[in-house]
Amino acid sequence: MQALRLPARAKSLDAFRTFAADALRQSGLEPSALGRVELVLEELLTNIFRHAYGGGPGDVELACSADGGAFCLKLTDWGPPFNPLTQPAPDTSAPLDSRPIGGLGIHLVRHASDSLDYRREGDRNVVTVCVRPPRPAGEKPSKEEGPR
Amino acid sequence: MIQIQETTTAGIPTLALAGRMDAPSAPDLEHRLAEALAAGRTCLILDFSPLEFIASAGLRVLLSFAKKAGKAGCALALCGLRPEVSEVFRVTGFTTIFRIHGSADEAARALQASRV
Repeated sequence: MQALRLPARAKSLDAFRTFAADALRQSGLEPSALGRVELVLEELLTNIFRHAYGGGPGDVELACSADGGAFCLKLTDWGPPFNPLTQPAPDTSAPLDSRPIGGLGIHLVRHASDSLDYRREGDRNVVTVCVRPPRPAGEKPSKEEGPR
Repeated sequence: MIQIQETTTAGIPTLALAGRMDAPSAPDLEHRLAEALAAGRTCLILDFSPLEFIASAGLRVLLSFAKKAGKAGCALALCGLRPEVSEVFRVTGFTTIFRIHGSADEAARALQASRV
């Protein structure tokens, strides 16, 4: 498990992204998962930057691990309890005029990830998200997996 | 980082969007799109073929721009979405908001046909 802890602000995004990309490369998992890893990382981080500390200072920690063929990101902040997964799903069929601006980040994370979990651990918010890379060509899907 | 290059396709102003449409680049994109509207464009093609990545910050700018363009009477067409970008459009329902074509030429033909 590798971890990086930085201030929860927009300038930290690049360093977190590089850190996750390096960890994915070192994990030996299929690199084509990178796009989805970058997407879930950006959405969860920008959410924390915006909401975790109400504009005040604070840190966020990213830990990456390869777990049973999936690449997992664990994001920790020390803000007040906040579960981003309780956000209602957006109406993705609404026409242009009635579409609200925003509210799509967590929806994208749900779609791009294979598991997503929130826990309050003491004084921390911990979100864990896992992305399972596509199977290499020719490998048969296992029985548990349904069609996507 | 996003690089935006303006060209024309069959006489229609076309913005080629290269790089990443993410939180860091969103303000830049918003500014450039606002400029295109302020220049009084009546139609515009957004060429996504050089775009590698899009996140919700980019979608937010696009949606806000589409609303303003609609009010300003500027017809929009998008083209050349790569599979990962296309997937983000699909799961957010953006495929139903925008007119999306394979190439800039097809987008230009569709815009010209809709003007008649």
